[in-house]
Amino acid sequence: METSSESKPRRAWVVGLLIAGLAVLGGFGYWLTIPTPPPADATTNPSPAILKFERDGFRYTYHVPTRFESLFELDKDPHCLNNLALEQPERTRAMRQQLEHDIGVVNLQDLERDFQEHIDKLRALGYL
Amino acid sequence: MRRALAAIVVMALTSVTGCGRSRPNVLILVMDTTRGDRVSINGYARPTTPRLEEWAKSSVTFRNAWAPEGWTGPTHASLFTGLEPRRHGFVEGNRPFLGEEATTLAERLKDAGYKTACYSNNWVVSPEWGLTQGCELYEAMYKVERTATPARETHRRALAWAVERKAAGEPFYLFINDIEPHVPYAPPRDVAQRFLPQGVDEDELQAAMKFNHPDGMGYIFGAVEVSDERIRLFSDLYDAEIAALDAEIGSLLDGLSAAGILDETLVVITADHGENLGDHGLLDHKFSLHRTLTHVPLLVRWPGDFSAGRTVDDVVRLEDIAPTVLDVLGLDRKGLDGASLRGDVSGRLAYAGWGAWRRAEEEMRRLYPSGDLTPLFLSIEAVTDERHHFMRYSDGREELYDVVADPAEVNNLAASEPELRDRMFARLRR
Repeated sequence: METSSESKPRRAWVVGLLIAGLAVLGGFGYWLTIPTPPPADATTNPSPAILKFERDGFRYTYHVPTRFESLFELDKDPHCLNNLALEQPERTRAMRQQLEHDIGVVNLQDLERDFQEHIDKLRALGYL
Repeated sequence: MRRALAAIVVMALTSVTGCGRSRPNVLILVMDTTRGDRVSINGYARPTTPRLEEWAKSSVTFRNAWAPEGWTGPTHASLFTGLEPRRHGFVEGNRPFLGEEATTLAERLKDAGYKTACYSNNWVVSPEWGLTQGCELYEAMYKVERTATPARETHRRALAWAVERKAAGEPFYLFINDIEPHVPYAPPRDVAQRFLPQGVDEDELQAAMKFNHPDGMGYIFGAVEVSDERIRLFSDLYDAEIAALDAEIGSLLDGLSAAGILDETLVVITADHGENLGDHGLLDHKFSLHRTLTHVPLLVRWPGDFSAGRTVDDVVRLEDIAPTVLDVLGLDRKGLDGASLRGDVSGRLAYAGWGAWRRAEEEMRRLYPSGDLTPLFLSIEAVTDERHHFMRYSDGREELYDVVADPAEVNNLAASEPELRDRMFARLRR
């Protein structure tokens, strides 16, 4: 009987320790999930060098460093693999003008000043 | 600090319980512009990659790996997505960047809980070309003042980042682009001396070390003369650049090993494309899909699957790298063009394409008004199996080579082997 009466507080201690341990682990787990701020030089995607504008099921894209523009019909070509810019010059021009208006530039080439170092280097390397 | 403390506690708990085997890290390192036939891990007679030869003893060396294009942008896009250029769309004439529709390896691994970083020495492997999608940390190493060995500082920073991830208990994806073999060929002097002939003229050497992309294009257009002697210097300096980079890669792997990271990391070392060094009347890496541009080194190290110094001579390609990584990590790889390099890789084909480089017309006309700019307007398609390499130009020219008997691709069989030509033609991606 003595043994039995002594085991009750011991069991209570064990249960208490287990609960406390679980609480500590739970708090530790929560602490791990708190997001840390991204590194200062983390990159946002997509790059501002790649512009896009969508209307009427078409996507117009403009690549500032190369001045290359593309037009894709999204329903038929969701992965943008078939450039229609040469086949549909009117639509391409209209979407370019709308994009220029929306971002407040007279000409998309005006944006090159924001990438001048990049463009100069690529031109020197023969990529442009 | 908090993360490091957390990592210590987690590592202690997992070691006590014996569970929670950590996920492999991933390191992909591109030796920009490195030809597959100029690395001694592939049997090149000059000792350009002695450190990689050491590491190859605990890796698998794929000696017949192919790139799907001849320049940086599309090949990196294929490496990152596991897709052929016709399916990721970074193709001249379509769009000169990787679209946000594409899913990169960095994005997949980030979604799987990996920390992701990209250290790039190439201006094209950058956000401006859509190639850093998924990289939480991007370091534009090309903006750091260039030394004779830019890989040294790049690897120092990358190693520090990897050690931090290890301390924090975070699996990582680390991509590095090293630029040494790319023009200009300006290796450290002590390394260059191991490859240059005795008594080389200093003025000639300095001129060779300043040669750059536009000069190479001018040579191709017939507007810039380059002597055979200078082309031999290019070749020697190019070998020295590879050797200089090899030493830095060796140091990086040593560092990872010393930090206890290497054996927890799937390591892939490859190149985006090669270089023409007077071969086929060409310099630089444009307007061609010859083996000089499309055959690249590939070494994969992962204890268990890719180890024991095995060499593989079957055709594999850059598109196979992303599915291999996903396979090792147990992640979904459906819908990719490439296939895992685990297990049997026999019987595969490699495809390549070159898109007409029209967008350089204005600049090239300004630089070389008397040059023949015809190459700017040509596209090329190519296919290779374990023995033959077939190329078809948009002007109708064709080239067919037995790359086993004729690895330099000088004996064109397109006219003399019509049945073989027809069989290879039928294999083109059209």
